[in-house]
Amino acid sequence: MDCVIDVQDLHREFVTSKGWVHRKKERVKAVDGISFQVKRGEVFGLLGQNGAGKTTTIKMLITLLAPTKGKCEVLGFDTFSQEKKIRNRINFIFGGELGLYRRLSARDNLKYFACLYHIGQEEADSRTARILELVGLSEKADILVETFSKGMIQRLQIARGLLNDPEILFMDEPTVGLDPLGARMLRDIIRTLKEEGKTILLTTHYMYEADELCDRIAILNHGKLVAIDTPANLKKLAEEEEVIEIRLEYPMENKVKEIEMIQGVKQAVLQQDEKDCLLTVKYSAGAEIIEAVMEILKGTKVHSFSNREITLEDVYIKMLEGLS
Amino acid sequence: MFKIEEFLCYETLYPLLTLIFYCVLAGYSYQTSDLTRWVVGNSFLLCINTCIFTLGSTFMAERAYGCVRSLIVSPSHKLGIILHKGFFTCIAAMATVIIGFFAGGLIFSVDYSGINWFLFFTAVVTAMFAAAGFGMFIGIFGLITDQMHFVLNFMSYVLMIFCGANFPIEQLPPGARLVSDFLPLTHSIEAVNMLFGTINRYQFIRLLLREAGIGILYYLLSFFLIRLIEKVSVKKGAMEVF
Repeated sequence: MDCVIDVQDLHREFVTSKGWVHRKKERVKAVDGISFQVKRGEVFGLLGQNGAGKTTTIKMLITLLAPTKGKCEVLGFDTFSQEKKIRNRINFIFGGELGLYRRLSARDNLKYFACLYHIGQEEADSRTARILELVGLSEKADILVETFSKGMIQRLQIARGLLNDPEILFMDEPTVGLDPLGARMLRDIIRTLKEEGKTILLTTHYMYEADELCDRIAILNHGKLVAIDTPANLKKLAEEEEVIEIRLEYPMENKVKEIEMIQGVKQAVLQQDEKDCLLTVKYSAGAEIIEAVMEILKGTKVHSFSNREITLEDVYIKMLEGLS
Repeated sequence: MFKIEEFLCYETLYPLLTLIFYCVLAGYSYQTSDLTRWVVGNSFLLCINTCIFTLGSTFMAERAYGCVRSLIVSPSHKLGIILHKGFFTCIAAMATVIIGFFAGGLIFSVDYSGINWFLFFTAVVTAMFAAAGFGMFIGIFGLITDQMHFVLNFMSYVLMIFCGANFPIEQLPPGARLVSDFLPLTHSIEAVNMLFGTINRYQFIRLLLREAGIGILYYLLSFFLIRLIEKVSVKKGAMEVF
């Protein structure tokens, strides 16, 4: 598999000036020397907190923003000086409701964007119909976008991103605002695109989504790359831990502290839901803590008890907590 | 999407009221009942709404829709995008000017007898061509600034003052006359005013050629400038920071 995205020591600074007489320049490092490569046909995830530099990285890759320093190549071309050779072969989907003409119908929006990509009239008509079918908007194709729900707008964004049949698709939080069915539909679309051999670079805050879809994941923090590997290998970073989840009837803060005192327990977190509470206990693999935990919980109504595997979210949180 | 009520209110009624305002003002200021030259000048100025504000705010409007990134990242030439959107705008501008010319003439009793309509329509087409080029040129700056309301209003007043619609150019100071020479509408307004007196066909054609030349100048400037401005905005990250 050849490399279609090549990022080496990439930096991006934003400079803002304040004051009239004594102008002060403020520099914010949005991306701070990251390096990674993405192979053709790969689904590559970029994870990180808000402000970690994911969107800035995507903007540089889609030729919308110039790097301050470093190498940023897509399909073998520099994204700033050779952008014309890239633009026809890529597309992007940004989450949110902006990016479409609300006073046009879904079909007219797609036809207009097809025109921007120099797609002929006949081809544009057939592609528009096919893509609207794919995203489940065929029946609403001739209705004005201003009447669409958030989820429908997001699905239309996806349709717009697929119009030019891109080799690489950049997706920045594409499932934001989608209901569970819509999000599942998008994940199915991503899988279909992967089967077709498309390369996808995806950012998301939903860890299970990244775990399910991505071949490799890079974790960013404050503009720096802190980890890059397959989801399975990333999870191995927390292999020495195990997790139990207990659903309980009553909040019991003091008991949580007692559980945390048990030898081998690394963390105990209590989250209150509408119906009951969820107690998550992380402990060193092999440690015998279950009896001790149940002893402390004696007298508290336990609804369920489960020993679950380490998730990507556990690794992600562990990694970021370790850094802070 | 074209809506007739929007066209009537925004492109016709509102500009017509502006025309009436300036003609009444001129009538009182110059103590004259012959308002032909102000009707001509201000009817041409009516294209400001469409050519300057609509074309000039192309990228500003795209930014408001969140579509500017889609346009920039698309392989289309950015000038083509403005021209694409500007074609219908220019037709609307011509309609506005003609409606304004006749409505203003009716209100202020302009004598149309003896006017050469072919030359008049040629002047309107040339003027709109030049004004659209000017609007497009201004619109490009929407890629690097969020102060387009200021830029567009400033430019519309520059046109009002310097194109000879309201103040005779010969009364302007020499520096200001130079500005007039490089603005759209100046020469076509002068040419159409000639239609109400003795027509010197050579002079008329010369004025329209100059008007067309001004238009071509702005189209060429836009063509060369847009690439530079696009690069600057990508470098500064100005595309979506506002």
